[in-house]
Amino acid sequence: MTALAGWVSYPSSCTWTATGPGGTTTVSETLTTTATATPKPTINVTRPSSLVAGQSFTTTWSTTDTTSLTHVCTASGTGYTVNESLAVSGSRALTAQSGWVGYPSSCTWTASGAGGTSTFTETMTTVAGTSSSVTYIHTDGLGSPVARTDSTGAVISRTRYESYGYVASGVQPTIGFTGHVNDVDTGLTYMQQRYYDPVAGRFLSIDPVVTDANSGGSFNRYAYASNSPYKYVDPDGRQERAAEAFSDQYRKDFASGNVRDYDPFVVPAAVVTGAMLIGPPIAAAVIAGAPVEATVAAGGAAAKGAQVAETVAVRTTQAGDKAVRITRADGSVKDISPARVKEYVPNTHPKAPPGTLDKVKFENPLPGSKGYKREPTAEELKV
Amino acid sequence: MSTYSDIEITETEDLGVILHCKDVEVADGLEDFLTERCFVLFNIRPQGATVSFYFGQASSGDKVRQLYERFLVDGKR
Repeated sequence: MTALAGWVSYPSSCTWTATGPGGTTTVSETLTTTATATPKPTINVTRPSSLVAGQSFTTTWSTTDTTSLTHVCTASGTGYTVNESLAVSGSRALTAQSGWVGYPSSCTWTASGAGGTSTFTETMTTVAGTSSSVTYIHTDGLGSPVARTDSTGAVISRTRYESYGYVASGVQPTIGFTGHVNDVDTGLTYMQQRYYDPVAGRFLSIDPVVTDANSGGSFNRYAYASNSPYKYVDPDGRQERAAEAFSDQYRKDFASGNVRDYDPFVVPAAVVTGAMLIGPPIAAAVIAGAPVEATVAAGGAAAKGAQVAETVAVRTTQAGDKAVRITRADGSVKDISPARVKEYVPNTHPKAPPGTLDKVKFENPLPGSKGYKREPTAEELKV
Repeated sequence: MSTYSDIEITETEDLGVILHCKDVEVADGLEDFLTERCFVLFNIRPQGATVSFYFGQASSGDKVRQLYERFLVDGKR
């Protein structure tokens, strides 16, 4: 049985009468009902007590049995006071101001309800934030960080490497030779699959990639980058890769149309050097909007003394893509961009102006091209 | 002879009207414009950064210049 609120203030009298063969017995009792005590409000506030200038923080609050909530904050030593009414629960994000540093504040939350009033007091201090700075890391063609500059462009430090990665001078970098972690304590370079010793120019353990039975590649199981540390890098300690694909400079040069290929067996050294260093001839050509040309030898043989098979010109399209124009020894031309391929053959008409070309019509052309453009193949896109 | 920033139009007795374009990308767009939207026949001759369009003797410098001006106006649409 539950005592009802309506019973409060109305005492009741009850009489129990029992009748039997021996007579009658009567018992009387008196009952009173008292009201349940109304609970007092409670306050729960979540906020860091120590703030950092410049950093945001979130205050979250909740209450129970509360009908109104006030929040009074006073910053000591300033006379600054905030007095505001808030919802009985909520949250908000603020950023600690640098002007708060040195002025601890005291905040009192007052919750009122039917059960009375409750208060919660907290104190907060604000500390100065650490100033941030930006450091730009510059890499060489192998991806090794060689210089660090600040936001003004001033050089903070430099690192110079020997050919196999030993730090010849300058600071010992954390991220070192060819972008791998440099263990300063041991002097070794962590290349993920294996540790590499830049003093010896050798790995400390054998290559997980077995020797190529056909070419003899990786025959020396400890050798680094096929003993060509300027041409190759080893991204993960297993297999050398052409260095250019892993260098920031290469990506920049490629984006600006400066390079087609760094392979010294394919492209004349002058082109490679100019592209790697962004030397005046290449840079001037790009500024003038002219494509960069490289002469490619037949069959990938060394360019010097070999028969010239084709000329390749790289340019940047108006859409920002790379386009390659390949002129073959027979005078035919293939122009490849990611969007389309166009081909030309020499005009063989006896009265044709010398050197002029006819456009090639394709069987499966791109729509709207009148037959003179087609989709590039996967191989052409690779080029 | 007519001269614009990117092109030069010349006429010779033997070869007729020739448009020399000094920007490979502009030349690429002009070639597409002439082929796909104007149905103009021509021969093309790339020479380094310059591409020459040979229109022959059946055309005129004025006509080619008008085509180029059309290309400048709406060729990139």
